[in-house]
Amino acid sequence: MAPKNKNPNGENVVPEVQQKKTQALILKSSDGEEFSISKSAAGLSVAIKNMMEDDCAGGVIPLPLVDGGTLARVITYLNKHAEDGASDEDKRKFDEEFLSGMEVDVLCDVALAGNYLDIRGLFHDVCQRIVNGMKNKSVEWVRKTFRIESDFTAEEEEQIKKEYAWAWEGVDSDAD
Amino acid sequence: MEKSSDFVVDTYLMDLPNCHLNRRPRFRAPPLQNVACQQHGTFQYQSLETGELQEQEAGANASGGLDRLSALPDIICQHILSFLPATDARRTAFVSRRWRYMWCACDSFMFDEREFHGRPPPLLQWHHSRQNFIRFVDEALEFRKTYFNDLSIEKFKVSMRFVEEVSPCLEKWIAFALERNSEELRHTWHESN
Repeated sequence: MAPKNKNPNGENVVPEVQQKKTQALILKSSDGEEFSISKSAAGLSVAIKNMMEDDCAGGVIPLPLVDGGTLARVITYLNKHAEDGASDEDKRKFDEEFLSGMEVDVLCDVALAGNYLDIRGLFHDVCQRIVNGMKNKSVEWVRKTFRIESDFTAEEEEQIKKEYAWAWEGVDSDAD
Repeated sequence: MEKSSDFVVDTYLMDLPNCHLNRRPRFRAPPLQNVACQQHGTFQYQSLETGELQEQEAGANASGGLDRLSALPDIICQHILSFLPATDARRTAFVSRRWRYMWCACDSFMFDEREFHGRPPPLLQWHHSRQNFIRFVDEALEFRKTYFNDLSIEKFKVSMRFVEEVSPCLEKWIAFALERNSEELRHTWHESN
């Protein structure tokens, strides 16, 4: 069973259980948190796997683009997917729950990390999740959901609405 | 480019200074040692409109809210949009300037007549809708050629019922895909409903 690094208070947690396990790597987040992870779980990230194969994964691997909170999430995901007994059905269920609780901001962070660490399955699922907030939704809805601020001038906005009337038709109602 | 009542090529966009993106590498994670995004929580991206490198404080926009999505690198935004049906992807163009051309830089172009505008059209409007669909595909390709001509497309798929009107476009569409090294080219005809 691979280690789980829960870090709700943002404190540095280096699990000691893992000390005796030789098959472990330490991943270091941008804000200096260290996480231990089994090699088999870490290997699900193509980027880390390449580093291990090139033999430059000795000691601590710094991941300057991933913050601690995000890394903890990614590691939870990797651990589940590297778990020996987990069936595909289990994993699918886990993925569903794993992503469904995430806020938009967190999804974006995880997408960035998934791409950076080259974890295809995770990246794919997160993108799919983000897209769900756009499918058949109005322009205003998308702006609100993702807190995107329109930087079109009022005239431009008006012109767009006139020329692309279809984009405002047939979408789901904005009412919650 | 002709004007139609439903889809009009965005003429005022055409006046913008040359839009240009660096050739995008095939989708793959950046090497770990290459810390392209700064460590202080800022992202660099190339503005689609001015072509200038811009730096954006991670997520901070004028209103003080956090727009993390727009702060993601272009390549990720484009990948996200490639999961959307064509009309939904196209709709994101009207969200803000940052998203204006994102939809047409995607690594996959997929059009399905049955998902056009989210649902199949009412029976009597098939003909009208089909013409719009053909025009929609044509326009998307025009945009792509104008702004991102040098980007390759991994997947190009048009799914529709075969009708006479489409034959002149077919050759054009297939040529478009071949020119861009599309790895997967698929044209599906579905039976009459």
